[in-house]
Amino acid sequence: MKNMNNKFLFDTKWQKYALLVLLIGIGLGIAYLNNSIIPILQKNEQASGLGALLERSNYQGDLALTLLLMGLYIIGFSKHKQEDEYIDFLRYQALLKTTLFQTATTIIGTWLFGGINFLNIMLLNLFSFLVLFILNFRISLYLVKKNMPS
Amino acid sequence: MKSNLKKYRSEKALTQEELAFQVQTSRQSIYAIEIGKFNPSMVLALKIASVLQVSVYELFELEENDWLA
Repeated sequence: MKNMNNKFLFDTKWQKYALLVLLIGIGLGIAYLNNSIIPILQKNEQASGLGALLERSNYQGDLALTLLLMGLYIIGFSKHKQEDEYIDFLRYQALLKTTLFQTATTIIGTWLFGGINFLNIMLLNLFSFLVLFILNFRISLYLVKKNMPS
Repeated sequence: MKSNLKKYRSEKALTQEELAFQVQTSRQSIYAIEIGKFNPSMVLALKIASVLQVSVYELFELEENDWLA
């Protein structure tokens, strides 16, 4: 009988590279928020017309967000060192719980916040899902190990 | 679903760790199956039954509420 291993998960060894990518992303993001832009990521030419609406003066924010999301995604969706169907089940439960929480908070945020605050909530939503999912999954794994008799 | 895994594993004098190794899974999985927190896949159920030399029907029993949607 064919074993139904999950093919959508990264190999365990990718986790340490993902952590590095995540740390670079956090570093670039903090620098971006403090307006210290790396010269190579500076944009020189200016767009005109409709393109100016999507204008940015540098690519550091884009790069930081890309690295943050990539790092978090790979950390969240790479195989556990003892990957099996129970771990897969715990991951699925964590995914369901996080989706429920995220959807509820987005709906509440839609009603509570407007204007720029709403945009900030949406920006936070971009990576809070992955952060919450990782935390949820890791806590489930920890509790299983803690409650298991030795 | 009622699990009789602990009973049959004890009869074979196997630890959770040993059984987990033989069926290529983790000890956490065996523990979760024993306490009824997790229902194994058909492949894993057949592997466990094979190692413990019992039928899947002896290992796991359907309960009344399993028939409810």
